[in-house]
Amino acid sequence: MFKNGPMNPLFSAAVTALLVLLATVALATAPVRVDLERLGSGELLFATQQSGVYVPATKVSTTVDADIAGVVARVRVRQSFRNDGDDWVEAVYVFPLPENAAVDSLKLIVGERVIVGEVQPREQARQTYETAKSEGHRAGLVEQERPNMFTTSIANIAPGQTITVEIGYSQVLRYDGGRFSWRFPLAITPRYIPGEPLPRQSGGRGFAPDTDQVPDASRITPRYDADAKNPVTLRVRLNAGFPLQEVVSRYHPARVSHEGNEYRLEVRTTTAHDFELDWQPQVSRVPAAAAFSEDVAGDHYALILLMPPTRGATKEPPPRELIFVIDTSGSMNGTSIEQAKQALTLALERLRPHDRFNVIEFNDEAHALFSQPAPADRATVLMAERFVKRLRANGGTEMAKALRLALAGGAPEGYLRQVVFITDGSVGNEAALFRIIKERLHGANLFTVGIGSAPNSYFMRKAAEFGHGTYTYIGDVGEVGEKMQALFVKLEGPVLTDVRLVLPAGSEAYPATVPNLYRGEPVVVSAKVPTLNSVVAIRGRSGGHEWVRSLDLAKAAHGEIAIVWVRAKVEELEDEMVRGGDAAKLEKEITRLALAHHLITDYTSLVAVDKTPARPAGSELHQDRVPLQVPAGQSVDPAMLKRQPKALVGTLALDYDAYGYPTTATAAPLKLLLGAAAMLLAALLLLSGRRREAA
Amino acid sequence: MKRGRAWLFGAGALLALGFGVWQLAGGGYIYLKAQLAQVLLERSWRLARAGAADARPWPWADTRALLRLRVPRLGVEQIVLAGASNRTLAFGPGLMLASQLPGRPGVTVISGHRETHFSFLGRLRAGDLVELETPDGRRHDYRVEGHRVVDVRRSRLRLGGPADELVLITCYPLGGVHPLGPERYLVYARAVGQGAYLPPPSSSRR
Repeated sequence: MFKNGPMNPLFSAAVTALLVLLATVALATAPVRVDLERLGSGELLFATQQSGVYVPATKVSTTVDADIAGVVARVRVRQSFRNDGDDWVEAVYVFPLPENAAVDSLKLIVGERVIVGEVQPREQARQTYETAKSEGHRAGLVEQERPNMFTTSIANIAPGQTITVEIGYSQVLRYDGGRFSWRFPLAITPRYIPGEPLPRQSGGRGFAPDTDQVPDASRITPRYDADAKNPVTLRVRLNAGFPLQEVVSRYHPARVSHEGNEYRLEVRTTTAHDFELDWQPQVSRVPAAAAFSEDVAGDHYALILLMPPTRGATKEPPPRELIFVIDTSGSMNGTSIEQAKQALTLALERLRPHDRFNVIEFNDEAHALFSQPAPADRATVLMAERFVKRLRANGGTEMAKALRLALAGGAPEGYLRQVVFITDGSVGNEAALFRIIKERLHGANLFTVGIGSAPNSYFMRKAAEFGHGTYTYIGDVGEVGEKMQALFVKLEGPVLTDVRLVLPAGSEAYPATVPNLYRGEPVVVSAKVPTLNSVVAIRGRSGGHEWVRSLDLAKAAHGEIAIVWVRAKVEELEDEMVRGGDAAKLEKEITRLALAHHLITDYTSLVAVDKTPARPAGSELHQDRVPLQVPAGQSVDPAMLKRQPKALVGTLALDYDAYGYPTTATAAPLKLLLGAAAMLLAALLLLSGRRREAA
Repeated sequence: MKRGRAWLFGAGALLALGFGVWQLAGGGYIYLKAQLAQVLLERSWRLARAGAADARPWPWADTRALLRLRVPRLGVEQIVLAGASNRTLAFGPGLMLASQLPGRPGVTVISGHRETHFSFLGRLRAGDLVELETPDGRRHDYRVEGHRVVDVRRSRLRLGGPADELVLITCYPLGGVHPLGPERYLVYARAVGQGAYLPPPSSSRR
């Protein structure tokens, strides 16, 4: 349109050029702006290959061999670390184990060589390891961070090499409601760390800094990799000692084969969801009692398992004041919050008109639905159901606030006060919370309901123990009904109280005080006895009557249960610490016991050193913190990732995909340039319009 | 015919004018935000230094003041934020949370926009002192060793290592206009030992 007008060709060319420039740049900026928003933080940890200073990911794969005999499992966990990089690597891997595992063996497997580890006081073990590491020797170190969380460190893995660590532990199985179960945790839900960062950091490399409330936070907050699929193979050999009705793998499809009383299965999966196998004896063969014994170094050990009477309280249970607490923190986001809401809704439906209740939700803050527990009438229950329906998971896990709120106040005379705590327990300040429970319980009972693919089993079990209640796991939406049903029966009240053991003089039994038992739970006691030629009597009160059973230890079957006793004693000493005992003295006692029995504890670690020289003096060693797989049904905060997922990067930015550098430019100069060009164009157009009019 | 043409030119001019104003305002806003935020951040930093639990610069902020960065020779003084997302970098330079805090072995990585906060990066010379102050009142001094231009498509960021190091990052070319360019300008610095403990600033809260 400019061509046919009487116009200066130079002028026309300038306008055209400007228009073309504007159009192209405007087209370019539109998608650019979308990308700028979507690119996210781009905070990558991946380091250079060209400078050769840092090495990309070490791969970890796990094999678990469980040998289950009677009520004890002996488990061998093999972790293989493969160094795919071009440099020598120190691999550090944080992993979960059952909270009652008695870890007593470590082997370092380098090709054909097997180096057996030894237990040493924690600091000394670290020294042994660090010395070996700096001298270029291959070494392995396993440290306990929490009873259910451990760290493996392997020094001096050569480029292309694989080193395997084998950890051995024993564990008493859970028996509840006529079913035995073996639970093997495979994932770690990110722990919430309360408190203020400490000025002095311990140097752990987790996503959280050490704080005044969790001084070891940087050690228990391993980073994740959104794309990681860490393979694991589980092989179970199960010999229950009696014919079984069924064997079920709860969360992983598995084919179970059996030969006589021995069942076998193998599962190949990834570290996304805790594994649980449970089995049920044939109805007629349900054991009423079981005893196992072992002689070690001239000492005699026994493990006793006894079913209380099935007919407990027959009369209508007393009215209750039920306080439901539901965790709505960020870690519950995903399938967990749905399971929790369903469980809570079921519990609300079960309330009787003469019960009183309240609902507390918590994340950064704790909020109660009613200012005081309300009578459970139609209106209040309906209100509660609506309240629950609207809950969303987001924010922190300030569990102390929730516990204080739930345990504040007392039930009216004649009411049984019960707190049902629904959570994934993903906190780092467990001991402080146990202390709050112990101090503020005032006769109430606390029941924990562990939710999700990887609840913190240590928190679940110990919180319930300090709360004189019991714990339940819900790992899948499909089992909410069944698991809650079992809990409702337990909420009717304990079936066996005032449990006392009558043991031969000079015996040492743990737990020192047997807790009140709820429906379906057995008495489980580990004892060290002067002689196995003795009879143990167990007394208690059930439904208003005295109840007595006795067991002949001479008839006990053999089992590897000595280490289980040591573990039970350590737990008793740890509990004493929570109850305010002399920490220094208890620490000394635990250390002594652990060294004598070759056990990993908070104060003792297992270390193995291969004396064969490995890394030459000239080459550097680089630490690689192996990232964890994200637990099933969860999404972790990008700040917890070791590497940004590719999905975060917009399609148009493909060329710049995951490069490890933040975008450090704004569109400001481009905008200014465009703006100026557009102004110029406007001026030119105006000018040209005037000239045409004048012409 | 003539009138129609003129009308068309007028409309075109108006459109271009509108677009121009829009772009200029958008660009100006970026500079303004960068300037203004540092003022609010100064307050947040004081709170953090005084030990306040909630030291967010403004109530809806998803970041907080983490460090104070000073380059005495260039008179630069800025508050460094937690995280290096684009949202954060609009307000101030940000510490990559995956990297290390100063005073520990490993690399502290701080990035900033080349047009605003980190426009001074090109003027840093080897031997320049860069000071980082942590909320506990400690000053960490770093000596600039040099700079490097990297292409993000071929290079990765190193975060490990036994030494306490600092890397400052901005986009390259330093005067460029492409907001998604693949090149980065990296300034390397190494710790020269921990400086003196600085008393917290006087605060009306205490």
